[in-house]
Amino acid sequence: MTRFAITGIGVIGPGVGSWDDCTEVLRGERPYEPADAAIEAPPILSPRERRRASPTVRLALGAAMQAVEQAGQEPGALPAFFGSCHGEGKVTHSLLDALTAPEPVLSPTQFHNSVHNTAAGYWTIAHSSQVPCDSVSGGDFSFGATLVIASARVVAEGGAVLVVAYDAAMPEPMHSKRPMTGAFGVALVLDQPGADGAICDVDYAPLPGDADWSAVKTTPLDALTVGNPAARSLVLLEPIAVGEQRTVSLGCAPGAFHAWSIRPC
Amino acid sequence: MDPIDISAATLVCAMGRGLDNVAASLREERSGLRANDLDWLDADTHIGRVDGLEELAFPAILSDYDCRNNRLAQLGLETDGFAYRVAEAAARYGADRVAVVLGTSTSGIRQTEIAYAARDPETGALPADFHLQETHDYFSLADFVRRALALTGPGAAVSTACSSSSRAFIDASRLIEAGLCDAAVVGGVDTLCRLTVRGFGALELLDARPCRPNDRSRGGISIGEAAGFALLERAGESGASAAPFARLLGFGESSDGYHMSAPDPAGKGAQIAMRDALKRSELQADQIDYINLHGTGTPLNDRTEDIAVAAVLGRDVAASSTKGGTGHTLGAAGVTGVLLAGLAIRHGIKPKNLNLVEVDPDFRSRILADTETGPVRYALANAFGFGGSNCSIVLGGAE
Repeated sequence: MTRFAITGIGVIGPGVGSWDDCTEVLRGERPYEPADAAIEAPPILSPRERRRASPTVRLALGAAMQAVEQAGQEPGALPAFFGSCHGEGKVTHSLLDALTAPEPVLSPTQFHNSVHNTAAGYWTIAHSSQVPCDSVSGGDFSFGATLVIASARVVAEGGAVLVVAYDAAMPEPMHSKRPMTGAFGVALVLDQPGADGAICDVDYAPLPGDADWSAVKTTPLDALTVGNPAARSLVLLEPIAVGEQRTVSLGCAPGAFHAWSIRPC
Repeated sequence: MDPIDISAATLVCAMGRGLDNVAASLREERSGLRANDLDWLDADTHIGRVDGLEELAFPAILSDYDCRNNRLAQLGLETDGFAYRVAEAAARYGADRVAVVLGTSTSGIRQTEIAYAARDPETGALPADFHLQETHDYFSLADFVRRALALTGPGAAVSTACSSSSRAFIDASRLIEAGLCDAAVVGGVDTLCRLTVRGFGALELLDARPCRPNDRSRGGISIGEAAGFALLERAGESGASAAPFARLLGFGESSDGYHMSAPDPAGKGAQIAMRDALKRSELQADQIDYINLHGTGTPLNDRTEDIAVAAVLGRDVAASSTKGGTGHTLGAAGVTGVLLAGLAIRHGIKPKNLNLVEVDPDFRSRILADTETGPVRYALANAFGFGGSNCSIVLGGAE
């Protein structure tokens, strides 16, 4: 059993601008009203970077700041693990589109802002931070894959880490090939079991086979959970929001599922 | 850290298919770079191309995954008996206890380039037979390799630009240490595509001539393609049919926190990565016999790396970039460097900087103008990437 605590949570998604918003919706305390995710450029970026930051970068950094603030951590001090299915889908599309011109000219800024670790890069630049920053993709399982890799560091090396998962629908024509629902960013600060300010403790262990019972609990946000890889995190967040001890199933790759036991503190 | 065995490995790159062929190219100082001969690449540059990808028989059952990147991955799995060695490990531990963590910077985007050029002129729709999820997704490579090797443990793509496949070693080492798997297939694959050639061209980082890392007149990179795989297991636990390739003794990772595409001129992040790699491997700087530099051939990268290497490892450790032979294999550059460092240990060779005419006179580290032979006990390999992402790996011989 692998064990860690969660000390900070950030959420930005359609109709939910914070973990508090998300909690109220998951508890049924207010009706869910889907709206485009409000993704403003976080003030931690310099004005030039704020202009250049894509919606996905803003989404990731906005959620990350919420989680770090709740955990009372220095943002630039935490080793970070960013996870996303497609990273910079919008930038990638405009480069692919530009390449179809007879004499293609690519924007150098767009090119270096197309890498999967663009959000991770902007995060460290915003904090002039030298801490390591990973960038992971697990397709539809990107959140689970990133969480497993990040938690391995918490177990193997101690200390706390930041996990940020974010995904947004890609523009056409890619969207029709790989539809995704909305834009969703989630961030967690993972720490040692029993850490000060723990929101919950988490144990997890492998489940045999394709043991996906993630659909057991229905919430107003189910369309997101199913339709956006980063929003698969809601499977884990729902028991935390309602304050119930529960074990849920979450995959970290096709056919590789874990049973995650959530114990709210 | 507890050492990890690289119990099996393979490398396919412009310097050769398979570790023995690559080692022969190193010994014979043979570069794999050539003037671009891919008509669709449409660029006046030198490339490190792998031959035979177009003719490769791709597994029919996985045909949705067919793209240049996964073809090179398949070629890698078929080389040096790698797939067989993984099957041995899967039989020993269980397929669900073997993770797959692979680096790539552009995955199968060449397939998307082809699909964009064939969009429906009326609707703009991509061709019906284009499988975006199976080829374009960053996860495509790891997904394909998991299926090809019938592995069901944790799986992920790591994509931190040109440090991706070094970071794959780091992430997988921690999965093993945390008990989340018993073995891991790591490394990475990147292949030639128009996006990177045009993109580096736009950044004015592409040399029209074969790249000349660490030369005083170096003029940028030559892009290459490579598949490099390594099988990681806890040291001494392999019990496989063949001796391990090398031992992973330590790693270090850091960020520059400076700029998306330009390195921090003081190389602070690179220094942290190298220092942490030494610390984890419990070695002193003077115990390192050879450094495989990131050494891309851009004026800025090589200068910054020289400053960082001189600061951490001093002026006496033999250092070279092998990108004059392989080209810059981007997301596969990390594993390429790690495995070449492993070959340096296994063959007692410190390969020279291919294509180098005159070492940059401002450099303070010991850049190899000539190949040296002699025992290499410990070697360090650097990989740096866009986003200011730095990784250093320390290897020793398998005992």
